[in-house]
Amino acid sequence: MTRRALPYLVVFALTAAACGQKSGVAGTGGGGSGDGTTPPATQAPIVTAAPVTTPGATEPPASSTQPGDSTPASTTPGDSTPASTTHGDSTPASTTPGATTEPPVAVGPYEPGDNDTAGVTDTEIVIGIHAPVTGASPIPQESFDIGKDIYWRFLADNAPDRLFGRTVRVVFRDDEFDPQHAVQVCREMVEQDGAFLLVGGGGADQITACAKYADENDIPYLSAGVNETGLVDLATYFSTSLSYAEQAPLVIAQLQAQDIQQAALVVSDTPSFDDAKEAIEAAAADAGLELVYNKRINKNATPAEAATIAQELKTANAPAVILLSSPVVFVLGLAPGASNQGYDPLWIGPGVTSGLNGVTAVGCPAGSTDNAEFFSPTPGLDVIDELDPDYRTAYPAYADGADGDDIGMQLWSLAKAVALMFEATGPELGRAAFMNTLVTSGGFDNGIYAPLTYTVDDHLGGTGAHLLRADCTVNQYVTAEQFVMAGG
Amino acid sequence: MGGLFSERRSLLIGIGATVALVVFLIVVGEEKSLVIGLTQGSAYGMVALGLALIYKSSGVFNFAQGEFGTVALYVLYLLDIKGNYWLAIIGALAAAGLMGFATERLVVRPLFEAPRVILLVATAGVALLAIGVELWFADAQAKPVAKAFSRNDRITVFDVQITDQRLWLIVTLAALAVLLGLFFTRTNLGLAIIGASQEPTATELVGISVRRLSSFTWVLAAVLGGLAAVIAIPDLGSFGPGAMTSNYLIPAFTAAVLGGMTSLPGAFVGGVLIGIIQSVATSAPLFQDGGELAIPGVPSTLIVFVVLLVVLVARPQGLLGKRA
Amino acid sequence: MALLEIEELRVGYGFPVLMGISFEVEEGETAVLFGLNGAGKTTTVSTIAGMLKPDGGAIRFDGSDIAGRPPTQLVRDGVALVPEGRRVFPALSVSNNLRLGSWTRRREQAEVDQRRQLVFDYFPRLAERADQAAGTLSGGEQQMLAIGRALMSKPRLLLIDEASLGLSPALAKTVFQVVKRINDDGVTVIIVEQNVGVLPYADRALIMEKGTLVFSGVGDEIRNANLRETYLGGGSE
Repeated sequence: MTRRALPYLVVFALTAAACGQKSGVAGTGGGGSGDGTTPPATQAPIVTAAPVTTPGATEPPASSTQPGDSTPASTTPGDSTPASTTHGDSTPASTTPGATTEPPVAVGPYEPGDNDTAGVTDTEIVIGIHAPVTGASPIPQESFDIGKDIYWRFLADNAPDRLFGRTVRVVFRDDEFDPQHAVQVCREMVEQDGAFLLVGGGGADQITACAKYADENDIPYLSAGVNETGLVDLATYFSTSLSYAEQAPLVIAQLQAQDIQQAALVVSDTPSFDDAKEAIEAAAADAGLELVYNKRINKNATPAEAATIAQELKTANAPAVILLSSPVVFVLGLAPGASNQGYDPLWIGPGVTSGLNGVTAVGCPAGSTDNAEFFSPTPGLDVIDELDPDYRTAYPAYADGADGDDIGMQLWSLAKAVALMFEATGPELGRAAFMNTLVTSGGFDNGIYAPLTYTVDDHLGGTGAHLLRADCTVNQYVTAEQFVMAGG
Repeated sequence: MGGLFSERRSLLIGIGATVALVVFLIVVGEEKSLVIGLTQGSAYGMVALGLALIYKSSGVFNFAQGEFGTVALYVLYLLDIKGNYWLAIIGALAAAGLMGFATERLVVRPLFEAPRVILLVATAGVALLAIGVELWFADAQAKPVAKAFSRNDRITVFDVQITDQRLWLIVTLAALAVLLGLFFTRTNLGLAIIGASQEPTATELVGISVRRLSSFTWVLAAVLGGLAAVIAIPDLGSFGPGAMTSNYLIPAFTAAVLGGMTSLPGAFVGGVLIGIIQSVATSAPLFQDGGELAIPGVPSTLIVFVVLLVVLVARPQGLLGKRA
Repeated sequence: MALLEIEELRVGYGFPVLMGISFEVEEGETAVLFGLNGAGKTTTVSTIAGMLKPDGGAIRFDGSDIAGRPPTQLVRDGVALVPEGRRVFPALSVSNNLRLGSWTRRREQAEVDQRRQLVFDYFPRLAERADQAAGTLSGGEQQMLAIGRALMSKPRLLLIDEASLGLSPALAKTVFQVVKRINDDGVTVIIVEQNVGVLPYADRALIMEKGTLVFSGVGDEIRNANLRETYLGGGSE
């Protein structure tokens, strides 16, 4: 009980993660372009996603392909490359990874350990995901439960050969928003459920704790980009979207694009956000943007604390507030606190948690989030049909008719990226081979995230993000800009 | 004479401390915290009022007090969608009262003879159960809840706007503190509740059913918890599972202790003081990074817990409480 | 017909405490229940007042069997108990203690006022301290208050458990004298005592030993029997 909270709302929190990733699509000039990371030593081509079904196909789950039906791309007769096919739209830029039917086993710094192929059989791959569905900042469990394996089921039904005859089984554990508990459930997923790799669904502190455990046991660990401190030195950690710090220049650039010269900065007082805060300050300084207010806020701020900060923000009167906090503190504290004081700035920030539709669903009716913009690994639901038409059709088919939400989309996108990674690794799937593939491939472009690129020295794979903007006529975030690339 | 004297003295100490605090805050430029403390702390005070009521009558710290409020919010949310707001408020309060009644019947009463600490743990169980049900119902999604009064800028003090919704809360809380004070000193029922808390055997012997009183008290406290929630939370626009427990229970507990745990006006004063302390701790440079009283890595608002400890050690009976 | 008839009353707490006692108290009498610690005196009056459920036997009050009725009902029926240890409401004022004593008659304001005046009449000290918290009263004053509170319900049968315990002999005598006045005003009284100083005020003496009644006498029988030496081990005044 002393932990504040339970819940709140929101979901949010991390969700992002669960999903995670970012992506890129071929739409903006080629994946990987402008990526600030070092290009892979070996000039491997970027792996892109093929549409599994033809856009517009509406009966996804039927597993047998019918003649004349269009086709799961990967099973097109004659096309011998299950792994990666050309992008369905015209992007020839992406090439197939190999001339042979199977990609070569990647060579790299990772040596197979004792449990290298744990979690993989000839017919199945097990993925373990942890996220808080109870605790201080939970993700809605229902969205999670439904969404966590929709892509994999869809893939199994429509393109059963893509993973060399294997299907993917997702196991999920609640980490209760508690780092110690996260390590425990990660251990259980590996030792009891036989997970091949682990995914952090949300919560910087839990991700950091579990990633450390994974690193000590040579287990690949993926999560959306969060903090860098404590993660960048881990050999088996790979982020699937821009870290908060990597998003800092995007935030500042966005303000400048709107001709905003002054802003306030409010960051939760968790040490996990230290690197992001410094990055934002540095980016602001570089751009000549004046931070007229700069303060940490209790990460579990009570209404009185949030109201006080909101009052100070009003006094500082900046046209924009750069925010990095839990969505709870935003939508239940700062936003209404400012709104009640008649102060209505642009709320902008990195990450995804405050950019989830759970925030606008309640903030819009209250009139407190009309003016909010946040970066996100995935775009708004308004453009997902352009980037991946399968999502909206597949989701209801596997979710008893329910419409796909933004959390489901993030899970979908994550799974789609991981599928590319499995394909690229080839049939001889092992943990070392998987990680060697990540750091030696040219990158992975699932069409929803900005492309992911990893090198031996840089496991922060994100290259760009989408900018979401609250649209209170529909109480949702919509896509203000797709594929805003970092480092450009 | 001693009793009266010490009661008056306690009151004077409370008033004196309040005046000193007000003057001090104005002098050091933290006058906004006064207003924020009043507006935010009144919500703490309202929850504290229910805590004090239960404690006064049964000697139990009721961990479920917050959830009486959250449950009311869900009912308000559900009823408001399809009907009259004020009827929805009444329905919400009725739901809270019903939950209080059920808690008393199903949890408190069977444990009537058990040690108080067992009962305390049992109320924590009720809270966790309620939060579990809320999570199941709402799945961690926040729900919007509309204000009864939408104007925000009617009153501005020290440049801080007091929304009409907050004004409603403050007035309601102050009125309740006074009315409940009268209830417990002037009415047979109020006196009986106090009597039962001290001498249950004697209470039965004068013809009062202690169990019926217990039901009444829990329903009353639960309705107060519901009232706190349906007035305070709409100012934030939304809420989620466990909203009242996570946002208000601990500060309210602190407020109740500060106020004397059994004193109803004390709960009001304590709530406002906690609000002010949190606000000052959040805004005063003294407590921020680099400030003279800052502890690196420790949130400034932990000061609230320091206050609680100091109060417990130095004045266990609280500002307005009576020595047992 | 006696106001109170006890017949073969058996009470236990898992083990037998009252082994089937029988006695009667006539309307208007003052009966004294004597006995050493553990003899079953408190158990007897507590059972009559409804605090304990009998295992067997009958308790007839004014002709009807009241065994097993809850205390809240018995107060309405006219049976009031002044419990051992007084049990006043310490945080409430003397006035409010009396007010709660009149709970069963709270809708009859004139009656309540009259009863309070009567109590103040019996115990002028209480009137002086009407606004004082009961917890701050002396032991004797608390005893007076406990009796006064019981009287507020206008009982026909007043049970007083250990009326003089902890009081000085002079104060005990004062209390006994007031009890006599209460009795004279028509209230039937049963006093549990270990203090034989109460004997001069008793119409009936009942002596208990180990859960049984070993002596029951009225009037001259009390004076003639050598109670002190025979049953009470030469007990003190």
